[in-house]
Amino acid sequence: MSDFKMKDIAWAKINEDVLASLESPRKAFWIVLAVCFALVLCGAAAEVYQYNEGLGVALMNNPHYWQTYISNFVFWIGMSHSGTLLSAILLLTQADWRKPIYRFAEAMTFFSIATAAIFPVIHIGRVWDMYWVLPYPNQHAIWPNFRSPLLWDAFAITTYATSSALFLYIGMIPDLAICRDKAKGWRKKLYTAMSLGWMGRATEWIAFQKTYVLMACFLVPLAVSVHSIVASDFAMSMMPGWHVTSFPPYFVAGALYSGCAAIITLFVLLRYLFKFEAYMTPEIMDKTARLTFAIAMAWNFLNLSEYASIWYSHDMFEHEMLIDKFTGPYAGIVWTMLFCATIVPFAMAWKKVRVNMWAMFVISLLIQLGMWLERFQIVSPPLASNHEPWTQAVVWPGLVQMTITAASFGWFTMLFLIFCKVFPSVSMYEVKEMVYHRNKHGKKKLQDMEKIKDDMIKTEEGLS
Amino acid sequence: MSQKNVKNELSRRTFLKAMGLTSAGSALALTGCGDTDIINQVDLEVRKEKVLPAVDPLDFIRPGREVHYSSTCRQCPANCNIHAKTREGRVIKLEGNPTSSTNWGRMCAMGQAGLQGHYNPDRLTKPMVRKGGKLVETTWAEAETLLKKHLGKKNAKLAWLSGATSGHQAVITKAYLDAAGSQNHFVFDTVPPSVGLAANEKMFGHAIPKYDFDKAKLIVSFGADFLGTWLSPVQFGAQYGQFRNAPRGTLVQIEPKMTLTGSNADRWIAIKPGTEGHLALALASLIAKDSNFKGKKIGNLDVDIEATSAATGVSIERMHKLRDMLIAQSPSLILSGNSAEGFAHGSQAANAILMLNIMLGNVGETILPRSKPAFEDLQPQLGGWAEMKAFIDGLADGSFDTAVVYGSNPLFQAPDFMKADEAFAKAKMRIAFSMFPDETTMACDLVLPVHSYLEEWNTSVPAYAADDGHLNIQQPVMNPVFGEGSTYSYGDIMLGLVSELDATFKNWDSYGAYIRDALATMKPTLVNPPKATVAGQTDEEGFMQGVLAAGFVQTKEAKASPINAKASSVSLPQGEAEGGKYAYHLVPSARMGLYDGRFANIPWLQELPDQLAAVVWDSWVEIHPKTAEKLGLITGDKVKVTSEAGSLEVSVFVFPGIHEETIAIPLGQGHTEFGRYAKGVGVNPHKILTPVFDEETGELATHATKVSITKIANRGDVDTRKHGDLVLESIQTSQKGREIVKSVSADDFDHNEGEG
Amino acid sequence: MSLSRMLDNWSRLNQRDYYKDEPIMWGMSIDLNKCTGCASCVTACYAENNIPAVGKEKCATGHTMHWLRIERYWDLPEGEADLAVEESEYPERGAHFAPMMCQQCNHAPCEPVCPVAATYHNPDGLNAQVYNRCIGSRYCGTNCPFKVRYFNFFDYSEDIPHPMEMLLNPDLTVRSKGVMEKCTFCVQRLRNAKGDQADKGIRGHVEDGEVQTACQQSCPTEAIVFGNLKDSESKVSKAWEDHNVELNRHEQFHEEGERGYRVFEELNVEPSVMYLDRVRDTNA
Repeated sequence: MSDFKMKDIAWAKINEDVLASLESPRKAFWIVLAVCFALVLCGAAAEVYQYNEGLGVALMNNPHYWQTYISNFVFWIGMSHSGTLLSAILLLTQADWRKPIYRFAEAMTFFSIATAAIFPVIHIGRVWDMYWVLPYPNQHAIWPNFRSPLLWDAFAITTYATSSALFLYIGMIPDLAICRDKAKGWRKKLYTAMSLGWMGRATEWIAFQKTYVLMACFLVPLAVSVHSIVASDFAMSMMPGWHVTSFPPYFVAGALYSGCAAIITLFVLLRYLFKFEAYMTPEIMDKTARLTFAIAMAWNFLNLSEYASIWYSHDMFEHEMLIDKFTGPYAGIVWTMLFCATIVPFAMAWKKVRVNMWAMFVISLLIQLGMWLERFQIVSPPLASNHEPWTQAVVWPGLVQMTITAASFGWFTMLFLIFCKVFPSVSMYEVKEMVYHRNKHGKKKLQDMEKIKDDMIKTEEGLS
Repeated sequence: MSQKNVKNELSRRTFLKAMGLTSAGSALALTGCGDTDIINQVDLEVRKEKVLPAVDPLDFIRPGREVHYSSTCRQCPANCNIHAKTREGRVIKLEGNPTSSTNWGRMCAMGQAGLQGHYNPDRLTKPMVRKGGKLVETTWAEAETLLKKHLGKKNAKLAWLSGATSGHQAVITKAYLDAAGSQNHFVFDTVPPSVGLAANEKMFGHAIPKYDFDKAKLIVSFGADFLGTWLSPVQFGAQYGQFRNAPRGTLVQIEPKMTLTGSNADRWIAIKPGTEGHLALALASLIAKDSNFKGKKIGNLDVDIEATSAATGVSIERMHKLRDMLIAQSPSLILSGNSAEGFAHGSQAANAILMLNIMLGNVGETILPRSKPAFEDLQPQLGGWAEMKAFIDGLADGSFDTAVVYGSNPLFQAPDFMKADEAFAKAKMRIAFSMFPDETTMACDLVLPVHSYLEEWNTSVPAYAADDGHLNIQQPVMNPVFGEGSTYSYGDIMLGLVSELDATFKNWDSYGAYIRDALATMKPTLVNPPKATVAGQTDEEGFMQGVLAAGFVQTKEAKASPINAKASSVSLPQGEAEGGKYAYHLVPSARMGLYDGRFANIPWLQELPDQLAAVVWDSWVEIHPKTAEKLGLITGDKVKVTSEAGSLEVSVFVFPGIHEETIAIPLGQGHTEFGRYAKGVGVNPHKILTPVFDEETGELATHATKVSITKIANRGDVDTRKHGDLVLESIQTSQKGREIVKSVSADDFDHNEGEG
Repeated sequence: MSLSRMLDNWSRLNQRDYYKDEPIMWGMSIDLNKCTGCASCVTACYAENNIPAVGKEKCATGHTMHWLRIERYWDLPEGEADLAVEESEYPERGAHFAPMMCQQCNHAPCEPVCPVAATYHNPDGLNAQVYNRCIGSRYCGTNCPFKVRYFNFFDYSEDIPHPMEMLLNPDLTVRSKGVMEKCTFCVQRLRNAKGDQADKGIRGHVEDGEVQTACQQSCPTEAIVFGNLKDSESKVSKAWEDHNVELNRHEQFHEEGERGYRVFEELNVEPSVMYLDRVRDTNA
């Protein structure tokens, strides 16, 4: 670890650099933001049109009752998982290279859930009655159907959104306090309110650390269960190609995979836009890429085992669906997906590639494309080769669906960029911690940390 | 009171004549007629339905309760008896009348869809008159003046074209024409098999004898689509249901284009168009020569089997098989239909086919006689192309100066070569009684919007009556959709016209009264006339209520004398005239759905996928896969179909159930007028028929046209259910191994099933 | 909506054959030996159930609403090769027609997946769809192996031109945008028939033939038989018995002359519609 450049950064410089990101990004930041905003406006227009005319304008039909709105939903929920992975899992496994990048990964988690949550609203036929999925006391004297995976979805998403928002917020409090101390004007008011009077006392730090670790412990199983529930939407149904037992782990692996790819994308983007070259170093990229590679292999294994289990099942419907997938009208989608998500990650076997920002940027985009297509090919081709031959027909998502899909990317990026502009996207206190440990304590950092804590507590107790 | 007290001044004879009831020496007595108008009187305005006030409702009308009226479906000449279900004064559903022997409570798709004709948004609601070359809406007062001016006088040059007609509608039309001194009443309906009916008439003495499908052990149908459009599909469908019960009969269908009936056959045999008669002769010859055959041999049966096999495309093996079946499975029923009869030698082909019935002893078994009708004037007139041609020729050569059209659409149906529009334009005055702005109507000078069949009184006789003497009663099942004074019933207008010229008809102030009076007059001739059932009801009231509730009456008929079948010698052309560059036979196929095109303005029927092609809202040309491959065509490609008389552009549908050298374009589309649902949709294959006529009857040979096909556009990619312009309900042809329709051999069929 | 009631409902839900003691279970039998594919049932269904005709463009995008459709195939299922005709370029044994509507499955896959319980099994054995409760998630549609659920992708009723709205049947709803619909076995007629019986003081029994579905009523060949499967005297239960078709089987076992089967029985969805094999005279 000694080759980390970061150890040389002075503490004061950290504050300066990060706070600078709140003030003066590159011009490109505004361009990207404008593009995203335009996309969101297009999407809003498409949604208004669809709302007025009916869902038919999105070209969904019988049997294609579900299409890209559902695959987008799965895609965005999936993307949220890597934030949890970086923050929570790597926190618990004490991988300290996560520190400069986990904040934006957490933000990504929250905003991708926020994006995913829009899709059920767009997808549903009578959105004005959507609250009926919640079990609230009502004049109908009727509960929702607790057997429906869609209902589980509603619970899972709300829980996950709340907890990941809390997790993001709690982790940010010490940094908000730093911002508060430096900021002026409306920012001062905002940070003052949000930092909850953080003074940086040792007791505060201890309570903070405990809460943070506790939240992490809660989030990890939650994240796994959320995507398993999303997988149940498919696995619990009867459709050939959906009714697959291995879907929950497959979905979780896929979620982590596409999430890691998204982190790489945003890593490069932020590094450039906010001039974080000193923090987001190629070494961290190397680690992230290695992690992504490992997850890619797990995902590939599960994907292939799914094909194998269908192939050996001797089920007429499943067989036909699988053959149709690879040779039918959706073959282009499936093969592109396999290229992007199975072949491309092998490029990360070379260190040269792993530390090359632009190469990684391209790879991560390809992987994300692959994973988006993966979600599409889970939803659409099985519907096109369903049980009932008479209804079988290929339907491609129309302009409305594609506009809204593009808008979802705009919406996510817009929210994310605004976040980075308003809040410190690199965790100042954790980077300081890391630099401190690397400089002073080397590898024994955590044991020492305990000692320092004890000392501090003693001192504070003494003071009181 | 619906009847004026003037009838005493009339002789009984004139009176009966006026009602079409003179005949066969029936002892008719005059009876009075009470006011039995039980038609709903719900006050109903368009778009503003007043809830029926509870102050003085009719005792059988209760809001929220359905009321059924018996009436008659007039969608096609089959004239099934119906129960119209009404709610709050609106008819909402048509159902079959279970007591009727015509349809036994069943209905076909076209009958069901009558509602959408009745409530069609494109119905004419105001009379129109041509002013300055354009049809403009006018008032009924003006229209009536014009009508009286042109029709309220004697005019030998008046030509009248009706659709298939019967009952008192035919009587009053005839009465008017007689009064006006015109001999020119023409009847035209596209689908009824006029050539075959003429052949029947000649051979069996009845144009439409009774058929007993159930008794037949084997039905061999040469293109008679009796489940789809042939005469009375619901009647035959019901019989077919019985026929399929144990002991299960076998159906063999021989035709160039698979019809709905063909798709239900145990064996469907593709035959080269125009050679059906040849095959029938060959079969007759094979049967006659077989040692197992005990029946009588007819005529010269020296037929070259091998040559016939080559000409028809039916293998010798198959012919032998058919021979064996025909001998073993007796009685059988051999039918001849449009696709066998639509040629210059159509009558001869029909003769050859029907003759098999005589040989096989089916006459008297499955083909049964009819009695001589008690009231000749009420009998159905189905008409045909010969009459249409006479109508057009007469107009073209100036024999007629005034043309009136009701229930027919010659400008749409007539092939281009007939130049119907030019001939029609020559008439000084053209008048249409019409519900819709169809092609002919829009070419007229005076357009009178008439009631739908659900708004008017009438009687009719089914084209195929299961019981002799069956007379349908049609009564209004609701107030006119567009309110009083918008549309009038054809009968009322005619009654007004005829009473100008013939004072006898001044007796009745409405056509309804005329019909009720006619029914009352017929009472003594009816089988079991209804009696009063409610206390305080007069016999007349009881009778009228009874017949209206029944929806039809049965007249006493003489016992039918057995058929004395006469076979005449058959001469068929040997070898086919060389088609030159026109290599394919064109079959203009009628289908259950749009029929001959009269239902093209009904969205339910436009959207009803073709039973075999699954195409909606369009025309298509059916081409055999092999031919399509040869021509490099796939479903959805656009082709130009050219005959000597013209050409059409239409989408291809590759279809296995068609003879390789044949293509088929369904009838029904290609309207240039006819409202929002029909206008501009598809093509009309009749337009490119060539001038070939049946040598005996002079009917147009509808299946004799030969065409060439040239590709004009590629389909491109399939987009959801769209193949180019063609929209299919499903693109699938295969069950893909799934057990959706399982099949079993008749050998494994329970031989007691459906018995008892 | 107390918690105890929910738990009570929950335990009922999981109890197999909960409705086994109910006096009525509507069922159907469709004889493919008699079905000619003429589609009069399809139009009857349109007329009875206020089904909109959607027009060519919407047919092209697959938005047709026919609750009852006729499927037409040209080939035999797997394993019936012995019934095929000798090599021929023509379909000499005719077409294969199957009227396909909601099969009113007893283990309906659409029911457990609806998040708001808008589709449920009613005590008469019907798979009921509650339009008012439906939020349009369309999960039921994807999960239906017969694909007989139709979603209101547009507000079709707005497009009905005057005076065509006058033929709408006031006994049932005109569905609005965003809800799922499907064949109900003409539930409005069934309710009326039951109500008429209740007026006479009879509950839980409808005389066989007292009520007909619209498709059955119009069928020219009487291929469709409908009635109460719990009434051993009804035509439909006799047909089931004659053809040895029983509930709770994944496969029907036949002796000669028994032709009954249910489509996709192997999926264990327990349809209430029995089909009888199409018959062809292989000696012809």
